[in-house]
Amino acid sequence: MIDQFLIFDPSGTVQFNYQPEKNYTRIVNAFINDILINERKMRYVEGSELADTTNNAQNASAAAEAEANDALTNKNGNEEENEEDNEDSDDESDNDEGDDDDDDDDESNKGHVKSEKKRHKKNDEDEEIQKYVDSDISLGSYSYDGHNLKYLIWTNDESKSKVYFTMIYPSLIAIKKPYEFLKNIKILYENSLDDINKFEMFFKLKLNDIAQIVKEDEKIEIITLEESKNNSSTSVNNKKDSKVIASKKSRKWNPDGSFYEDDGKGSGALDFSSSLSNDKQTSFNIKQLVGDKSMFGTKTSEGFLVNDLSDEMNKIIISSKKKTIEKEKKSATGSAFSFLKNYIGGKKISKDDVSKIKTAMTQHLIKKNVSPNVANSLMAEVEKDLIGQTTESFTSIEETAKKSLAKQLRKLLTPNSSIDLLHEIQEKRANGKGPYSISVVGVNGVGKSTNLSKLAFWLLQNDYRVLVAACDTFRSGAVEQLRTHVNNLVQLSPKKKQIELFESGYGGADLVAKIATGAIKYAKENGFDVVLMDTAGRRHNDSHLMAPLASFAKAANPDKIIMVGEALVGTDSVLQAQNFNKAFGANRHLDFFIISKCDTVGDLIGSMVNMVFATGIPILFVGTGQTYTDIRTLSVNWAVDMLMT
Amino acid sequence: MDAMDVLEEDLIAEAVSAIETEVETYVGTHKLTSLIIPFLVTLILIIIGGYLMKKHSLITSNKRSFVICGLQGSGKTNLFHLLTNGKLPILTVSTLEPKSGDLLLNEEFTNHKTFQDIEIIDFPANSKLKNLYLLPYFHDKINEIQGIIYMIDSSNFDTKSCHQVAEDLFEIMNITEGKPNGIDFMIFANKNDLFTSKKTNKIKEMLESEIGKIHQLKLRSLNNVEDTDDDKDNLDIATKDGKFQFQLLDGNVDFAEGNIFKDKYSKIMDWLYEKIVN
Repeated sequence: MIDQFLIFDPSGTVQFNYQPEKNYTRIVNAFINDILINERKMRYVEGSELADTTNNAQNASAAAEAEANDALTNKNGNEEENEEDNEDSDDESDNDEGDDDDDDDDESNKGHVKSEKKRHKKNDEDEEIQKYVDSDISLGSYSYDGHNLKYLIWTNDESKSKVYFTMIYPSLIAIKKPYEFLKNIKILYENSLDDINKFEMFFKLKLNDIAQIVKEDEKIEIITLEESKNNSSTSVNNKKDSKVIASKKSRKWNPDGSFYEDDGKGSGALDFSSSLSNDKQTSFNIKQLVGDKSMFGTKTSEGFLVNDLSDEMNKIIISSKKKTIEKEKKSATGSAFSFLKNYIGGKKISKDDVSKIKTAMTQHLIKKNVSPNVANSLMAEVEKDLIGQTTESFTSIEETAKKSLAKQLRKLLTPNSSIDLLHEIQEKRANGKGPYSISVVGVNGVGKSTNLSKLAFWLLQNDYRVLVAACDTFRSGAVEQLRTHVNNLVQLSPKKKQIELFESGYGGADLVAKIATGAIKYAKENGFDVVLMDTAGRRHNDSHLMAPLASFAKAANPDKIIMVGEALVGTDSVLQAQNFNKAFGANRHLDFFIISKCDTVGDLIGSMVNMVFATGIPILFVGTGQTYTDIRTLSVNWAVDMLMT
Repeated sequence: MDAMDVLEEDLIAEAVSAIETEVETYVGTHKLTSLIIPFLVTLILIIIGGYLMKKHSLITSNKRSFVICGLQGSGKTNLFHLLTNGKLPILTVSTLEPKSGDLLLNEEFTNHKTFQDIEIIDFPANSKLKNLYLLPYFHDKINEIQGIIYMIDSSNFDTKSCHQVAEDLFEIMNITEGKPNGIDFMIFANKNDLFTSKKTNKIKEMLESEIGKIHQLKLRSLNNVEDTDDDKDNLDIATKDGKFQFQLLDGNVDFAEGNIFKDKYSKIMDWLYEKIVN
């Protein structure tokens, strides 16, 4: 039955707690962290006036596309998962995570839920969700650690306050019409706000109802369970349909699992799916990113040999900053969205008001190189935020909307947890676990080698011994280019023998992995702290070229995989980021981005937004020029200011 | 302020013109009431002026606030409820939005003038939300902050969480030390009566060495894209002989222990009253 039922508000206070046995708040906390806070894949908007395609079906976003791709890959092995994808794509934005975890759960726990029945149930839920698509209610589900969580978020339009209804129950139990239950509870709660005791009584009564349904459900489940057993025993390695069941079973019975792994096709796809979900989960939970960049020290540029140029760059950046401030002041009276009147404030924002601004702001974002789909979904979030809100005194709707957009951008660009590269390198060195390896990937000509040498220079300044491995064995001159860099860096490094090049000429794809492992071995033997691996540039949509990345990641197993993306690229950045993120196989994904050539675009840094939006992977560094010192950490405030001007 | 004045003038001009047009139509029909109209206009002006004054005074009022922050699960929301309601909530989950409330005063102080307008704000700990709420708040309203209560779960204070706390404190203190005289800290070791908990001396020692380490690392880290003045390193003064010490900071850092779940938080109250009086 229900393990816990919580009603809480955003400030973290629980208003009502039904908890027959153990306390399961950790599940609610995981839900809050994964879905409510880290929801990076916002829903793409349909039918917006600026979308390049007005067709709903086509208007699926990049993120949704990715989701669809995932679904496709899973299709042959796991039909049911598709089912879930479909179900989830219909409800609110949050559920990507939800269904990923669902999959996870499927594997570990509810091996014996019959797919047909589930499909039926899913349809039911689908309808239910459809029925309750209200403006002030959002529904969804989430799974974590063997428990399902169904939630209902009720937004009170007038006060814009939210109340969260969450119901936790074991994954093994199927509850009929959970959303109806939640909805009923919501109505009850609404009507008995003052009398919590009364509500508690009502709640218990309702709970009895659901308990009966559960019992009926369980009966059906037992029957279907037996069926499924029969099925699976007869059709272990047969057709698609049975694979759904078999795959479920395989998680319980190890021999089956191993059998499938040998099989290739079926299990390959299955494995892929499971790891995909893992992959995403880790990107939510363990993603180690840089926290607040404004806290980075300021002393690096001091004492650097190439100081003058970098100073110049700083000046340029400062002057552009000043310009942005000036522009901001101007636009307060409306240069960007000037057609909007200034209101005195205290006005309640209606949908009409927002739609006017929306067009202008979406256009503004697109001008900043943000891809149209991403811009639309950002604006959808802004719209959600604005409607029903009242403007503050002496602020126009336009300003309020801008503030809201800035908030959305800040939310998007801020990483979930902080990465401190130096700290991690230090830790690894202290533990004697061998060298810290970083590999750089990206499309041709984005500046992989250049950024690699910038990183090397920075690490050298910090007294680390750096080994540069030339894993680009493909393009002619790549090794020579690196050697030139290394020779320069040898001259520039404070101590002798601080940096070396590890190379072994040119050759095929297997050579790459060999060089990588060889470099790590060499670094271990010779006491290097960091290994930087340069790879060949590759087109992100050519599977031939992308395939070797997986084996490379497996062989070298770098501590950090960095993708270099250039700020110059436009809408393509979405796909670049996504394809590279997927290229490393199941359990590996990119760790962060370096956005190069930021000095060439001025304030049109929309590609950053695209890349982060598409993958949820943060930007750690930005390249701002040609010299070794022209690498900076990204400041979210800076980026937001640039985008808003 | 200039912008405000301009706006004010605009506003008044707008109001006057609006009323005048209205008045014209009005005068056309009811000539007898024409005397009332100037009176009405002045009345409206007074109301608007008063509203502005009030707004203005609100901005500059000496509203004082205390900020509660700390890592996730250290008991911030519970403390917030204790300080504002006097009782623990049924249960708490991860906070999503900051919440502010007035400090619940002891009976003897309720009518005391210095104890009015004290605000307690509970901020979420999630790093994404911290960047969204806490840091902008520090940026905008640093002068209102009277003190910061930093919660630590002392029952679970190992090297890992020590590093997290130190990073967090480093970030916050770097901002607060930018203010003249800094901001006072109360580092409260919650759940200190549990078997596994560490004593405040030990916690202080660990934090000092960890913050020192982080400080060294940050100095060697890369520059920020945006070269602004607030990017300064404010913790330099607290480092003596390469060692970071809390007592060298501009703001006072007090350590205390207790367990808010067992009503042992009197040290926080004492500290609060002391800071309010000063």
